[in-house]
Amino acid sequence: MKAVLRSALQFYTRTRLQRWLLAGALLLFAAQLLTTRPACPCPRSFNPWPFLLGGLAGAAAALLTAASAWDLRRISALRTVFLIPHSRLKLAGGMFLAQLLAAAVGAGLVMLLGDARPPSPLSWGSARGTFEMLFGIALFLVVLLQVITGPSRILSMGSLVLMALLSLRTDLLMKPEILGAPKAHVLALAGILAWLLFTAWYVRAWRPRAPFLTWSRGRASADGPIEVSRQKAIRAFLLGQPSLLRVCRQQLTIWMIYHLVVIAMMAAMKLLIARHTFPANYSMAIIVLLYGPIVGVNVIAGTAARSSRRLWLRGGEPRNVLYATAERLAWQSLALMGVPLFGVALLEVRFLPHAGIDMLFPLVMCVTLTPAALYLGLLNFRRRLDVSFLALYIIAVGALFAGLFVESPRGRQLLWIAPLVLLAMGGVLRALARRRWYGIDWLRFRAERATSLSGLRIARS
Amino acid sequence: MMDSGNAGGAPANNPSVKGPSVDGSAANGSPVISLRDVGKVIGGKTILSDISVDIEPGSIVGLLGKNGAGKTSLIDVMLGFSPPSSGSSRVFGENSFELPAAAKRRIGFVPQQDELLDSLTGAQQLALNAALHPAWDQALIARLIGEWEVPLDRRIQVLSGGERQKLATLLALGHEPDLLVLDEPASSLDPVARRQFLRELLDIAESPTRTVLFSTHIVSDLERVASKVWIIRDGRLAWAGDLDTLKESVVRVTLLARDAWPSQLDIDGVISRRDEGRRVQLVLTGWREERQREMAERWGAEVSVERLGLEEIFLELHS
Repeated sequence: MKAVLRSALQFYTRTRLQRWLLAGALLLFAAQLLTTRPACPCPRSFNPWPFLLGGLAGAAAALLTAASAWDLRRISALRTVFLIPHSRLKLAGGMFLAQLLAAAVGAGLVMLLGDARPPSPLSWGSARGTFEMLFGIALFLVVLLQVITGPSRILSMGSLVLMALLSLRTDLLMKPEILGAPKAHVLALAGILAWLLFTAWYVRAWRPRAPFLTWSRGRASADGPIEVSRQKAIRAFLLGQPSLLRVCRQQLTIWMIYHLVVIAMMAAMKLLIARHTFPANYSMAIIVLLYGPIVGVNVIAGTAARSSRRLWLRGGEPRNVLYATAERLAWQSLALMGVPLFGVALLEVRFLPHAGIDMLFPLVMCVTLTPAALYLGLLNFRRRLDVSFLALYIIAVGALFAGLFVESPRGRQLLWIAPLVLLAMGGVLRALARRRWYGIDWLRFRAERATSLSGLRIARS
Repeated sequence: MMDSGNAGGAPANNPSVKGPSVDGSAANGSPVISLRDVGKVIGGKTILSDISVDIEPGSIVGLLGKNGAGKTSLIDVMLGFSPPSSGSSRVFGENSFELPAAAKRRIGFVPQQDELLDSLTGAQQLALNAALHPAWDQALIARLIGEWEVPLDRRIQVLSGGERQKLATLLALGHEPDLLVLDEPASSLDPVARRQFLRELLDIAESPTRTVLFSTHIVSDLERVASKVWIIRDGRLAWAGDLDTLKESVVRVTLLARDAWPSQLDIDGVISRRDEGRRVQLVLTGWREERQREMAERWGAEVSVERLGLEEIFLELHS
């Protein structure tokens, strides 16, 4: 049991990013408690905390759950985990407990918020119903990620199609006659059943392959052309994959999955908690799309930075030419991801309801944030997430709330300085990236070895 | 510090041992690799210190050291992946950190952690490398693929450690480099495959113009292949010279006296000392035959001398 509990805690606190997010959520929670006290001099006319908790902390919680689900998938692929008896059972139990704890804390937050003051900004459901809904959705999310990235292509595609169908039927789920009959416990039971099925497979299955490797199957890779140009070869070495199109396609798939998951979650929330009072609002789903190119280009640029060592001797280019190649590649990837994702977001802003929230400002903010994300990626020679990732996330989500809170015309005018600041930040980061690449010392950024202390720590956790 | 003109087997500051310089300038023009007072500090920690050594063309040099001794760091500095914090590193006469393309084309490198692309097949990976090298020798590669039994039709992610190692080595050989650097090349091979691999390595290095430097912590590998040896300990070069000279230079001497031995013995080049009553065992460097007679006369003791294998020398140097 101790091992299960330890695993559960590890899922939420292993990386620095997870700890930062947890700390941020706790701070928000504390602030909310303080400002809802009767003695607090805060203005009562408009209380931003419901939105902060509902939006930022909610998004942080979703990210934490997704990160822990991803951790489970990654750890499952480790040879050590496969070899140690019962380790998979402990991991599965730990993940179950982690979702249970998260749902309990989430339900507690929602209840505190919902019952804090009259009139309540949102008409929340019962404590039990909220908990059951959160728990069911969290379990579904974890299982879904394992299945989508799992060894069976049929299951992966099937899950994606299911998610797409579910999101298409969102409008149906939001009909008042269906909303009037919440069945949260059914959702929780279904989540538990899905979890049990997954665990039964997981403890008996052969070691699952490392995530993403299973996605690289297909003709393009196995039977691809043997004759390649020098430029293509350089790109392949920088990206670690045969082509830029393929990498961008993977990123687009991931972000469309997230998008669909958020839409499905919103539909479930509408169905089970908010009932009639919650207006149809796709803003969080749209912001996921806006966030896609930012993270995508950050990831691809980071991959190019870490792979650049491969080309030092092979390619023959000096460091400045290597930098120029990687930079060009990153901008091309941004174009390949940004046009479709920002394009779909723009269409959704135009045609889907978003409760009167001005989405134009977040859209401009996210577009102008992409150069900074690109150059932060080019600066990241280490094979791990860094705090810059969190900073990008906060800026992107902050843009949404800034658009919400600032109402005076002068204030709104001032807001438009922010995109310019972000562009300037991109310029500064570009200068830093050039400087680092021109004198890059790959020895300082040598990948963690399997035998190193940090490598062992990761494997153990 | 290793100086070019150092005399063979000369004793050094205990316990470091200095051998003759592997100085190519005397033999065959300029050295392939030339390091002068190279030091490397990362985050305040000294990784390499005071390394001066040359490699002459055509030699097979084994770089020996414990895990974490600095072998990979030295190779990284040597090949320009990392600038030295002090001193200078040159390859084919060029500054390592700013190697021109022409010099890079003459280098083949197999890193400790292979840099293969998991999502490709072996054939695709070879094709990518071939695209980067105008002088890719497909015939040589085809021959080695057959001899080493490297599966090219399978995805790299499903290859065993040994198969990956062989493929990585093939990639470094395709453009027929003048300098081949292998960082722990046989570490993931089984004993049979390792023996075969080392035999192939000898074949590859047969060309008088090809220089091979390989790092290892497996002493038997080095003994089988290398003609020169560098021993690195705590970031310092403890020995650089001919393997045979090292073996001749370092011996275990047993002295048997009538009385107990004083705690301080005035003997040059002591690496280690073990006292057992009237018997004292010393491991010495810079050994010459005449020293046996000198010792016997000086202390009136029975002196017996035992030659050591490379593994024992390595262990003594690290004791």
